[in-house]
Amino acid sequence: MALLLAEILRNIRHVSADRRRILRQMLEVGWNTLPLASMIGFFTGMITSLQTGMELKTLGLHHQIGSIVGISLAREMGPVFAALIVAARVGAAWTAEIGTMSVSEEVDALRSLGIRPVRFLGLPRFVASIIMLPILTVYAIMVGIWGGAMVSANYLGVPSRIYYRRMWDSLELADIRLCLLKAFFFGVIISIVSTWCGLATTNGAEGVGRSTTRSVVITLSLILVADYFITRFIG
Amino acid sequence: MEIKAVDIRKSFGSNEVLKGLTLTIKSGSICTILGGSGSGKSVFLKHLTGLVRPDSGSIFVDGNDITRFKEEELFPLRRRIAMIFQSGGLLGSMTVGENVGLGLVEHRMASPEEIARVVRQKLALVHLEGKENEIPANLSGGMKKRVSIARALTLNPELILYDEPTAGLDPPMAETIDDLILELTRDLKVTSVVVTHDLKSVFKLGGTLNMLHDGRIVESAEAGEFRNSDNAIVREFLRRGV
Repeated sequence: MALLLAEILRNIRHVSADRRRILRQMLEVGWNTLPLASMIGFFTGMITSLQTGMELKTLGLHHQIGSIVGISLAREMGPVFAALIVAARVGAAWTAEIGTMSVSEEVDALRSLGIRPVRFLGLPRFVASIIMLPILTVYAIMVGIWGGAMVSANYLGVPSRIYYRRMWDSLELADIRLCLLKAFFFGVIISIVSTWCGLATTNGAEGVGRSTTRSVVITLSLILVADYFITRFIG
Repeated sequence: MEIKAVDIRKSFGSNEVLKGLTLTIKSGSICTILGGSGSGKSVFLKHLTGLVRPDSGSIFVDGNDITRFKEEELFPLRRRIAMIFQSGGLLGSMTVGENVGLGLVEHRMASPEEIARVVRQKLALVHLEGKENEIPANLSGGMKKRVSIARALTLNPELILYDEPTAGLDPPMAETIDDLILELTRDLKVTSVVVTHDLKSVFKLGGTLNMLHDGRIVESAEAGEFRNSDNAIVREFLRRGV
């Protein structure tokens, strides 16, 4: 996978020439994932607000709920959940698509035409992921914060203006930076793992199924490992 | 383009597929490689364009040993060699027109208008005029093979490799493909290498016939001589195929 990443980076200069393919993948990562990201972001915010708020209420600290929801979504749950959604929905599909191309000689056909498969298949997915995952993450966090505000207002008795005031007071630039950095690296992981697993696929339909499963498992594992180390050393 | 394969050996795990294959392919000719299923015909064909690397042996293309080439160095060579895959190798996410023009688009060899013109011309060569907007999933097996040939022709190759071009086709369509191969070899003056176990195609295409058995070429002769060969393996193959 390191060699694949190196080859993709060597081909970065072709981004302009490959913009149509990149745009297609950006739509797949971003626009087509919006409904799922909206739902998961919204409910994550609501659940966080509900669970934490109930405990805070017993201590008379429920007015702090806005800061807690904002920080936990920005630093952790937003980037991780957005990455998990994209890995499961888009990453798996990429592996299946590229894997099917591998076993049906389409990748060989590209090579025989003098077209580099890593540039044709990997570069658009890589660029799309590192651009769209941070954007999708920010969107999911905003939806989550809104969901949290609804629960706070309707169940915890915390007015929205107090919820948002506490949130804005607590969130720092470092939190936003950490969020975007995580989303960027998670995007690298998703695109590299899914492309690599797809290109390594053999043995027909059974192989495609195995590669897809493997891709999701490796991606999810690496996202959590990366999350720990980024939080530990940068967060 | 003249090709010389010398003592090619290739194994996949414990399965030794090619066991010292030696073969010369003369420029401008049709070279047919026949053998049973699993005899290594397709594997050998992929060696000629560097898609598979031998464990040992050499492949000389115009005097250059391509087994020593790095992957990057193979790309210019691959533009001179076209391969028609058994399954067609068409990209399912693209239309027929996009598939045929793929090489020209990716290598930026012409303007969009010129590419469209070339696509129409090549589709006409394979008798598929007007099919630019179809998708591969809607095509028959024979049509997919013909689109694959049209795509291969856009880069004006010197050598065309056909991997079981008539496999899975009904007899009339198989004959159409054979006629196309003959037409292209004659009119475009390309070298053609055809791997097949279809005896009707073998004798229709003519040229030099090479029998691949147990990982080696065991007989190499013109069609007439081949039909009358004393080689027991050839005789058995011909007997079963009739």
